[in-house]
Amino acid sequence: MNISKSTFLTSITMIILVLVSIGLSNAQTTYNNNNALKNVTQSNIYFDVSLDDDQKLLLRLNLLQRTIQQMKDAGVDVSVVIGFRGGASRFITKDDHYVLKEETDNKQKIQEQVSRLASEGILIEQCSIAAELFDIAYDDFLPEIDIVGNGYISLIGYQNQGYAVVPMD
Amino acid sequence: MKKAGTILGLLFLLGLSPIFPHPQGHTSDLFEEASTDQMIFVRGIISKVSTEKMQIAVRPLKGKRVVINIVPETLLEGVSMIDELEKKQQVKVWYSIEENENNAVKIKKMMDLGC
Repeated sequence: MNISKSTFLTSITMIILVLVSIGLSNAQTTYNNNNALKNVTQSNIYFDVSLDDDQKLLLRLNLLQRTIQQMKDAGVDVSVVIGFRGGASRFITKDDHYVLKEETDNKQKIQEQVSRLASEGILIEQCSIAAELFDIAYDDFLPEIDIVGNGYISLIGYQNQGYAVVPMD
Repeated sequence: MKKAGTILGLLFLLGLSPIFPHPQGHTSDLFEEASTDQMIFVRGIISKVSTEKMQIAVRPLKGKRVVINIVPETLLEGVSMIDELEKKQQVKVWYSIEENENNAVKIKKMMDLGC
């Protein structure tokens, strides 16, 4: 049972690294938004989505869902509207239309994410002007999408109703 | 008197301006957003730009991509040279088929209005 000095030192170093990493992960889970959410029991949020990049859009939609979940976990009752306009409009259409071939995999994931969000009672709007500019037929949008006249008016209207706007551009 | 003469001259020229409409007015009228016997119209997204081959590949809103040559006669709108065309840009292209080659008659880059 002779343990060399180097083996002993390596073992000690490994144990220290494991303890430090556990400490760091614990520290991360203890982060909170208590100051921001002080006395907040109800929140209205409007996510303004105009990203024209499939990868970024998918990442942001995941972050959006995580944000909503974290607010709910913090005891806040949330009312959410997601407004699509600009280049992001292409990705909430049916099938693999309106995107490049290399964007189709992410488009499918975006479609799934949109369905999940809608099933949670989140209102998802699409600007009809953007649809016209991109020559997207209204019938080609996913069935979960609510087409509105003007995305800018939605932005203005929801802000006037007390919705906090989170830009995703 | 000189000033009055200059103003009258300008007014005269302004009055004449409708007689000499902008030449672009004529060319725009030639390009309907539909295919004809002479030209095929495609609306889509640029999937590839090759400045060496002077070609762009366009994926229509629905359908398979089409490779189009840019020839000296190609009219460009929204850009002044092929270098300004980029992947993922929205374009409208009118092209003709000559000897199994798709030659662009006009390429119009769509404006990004942010809406």
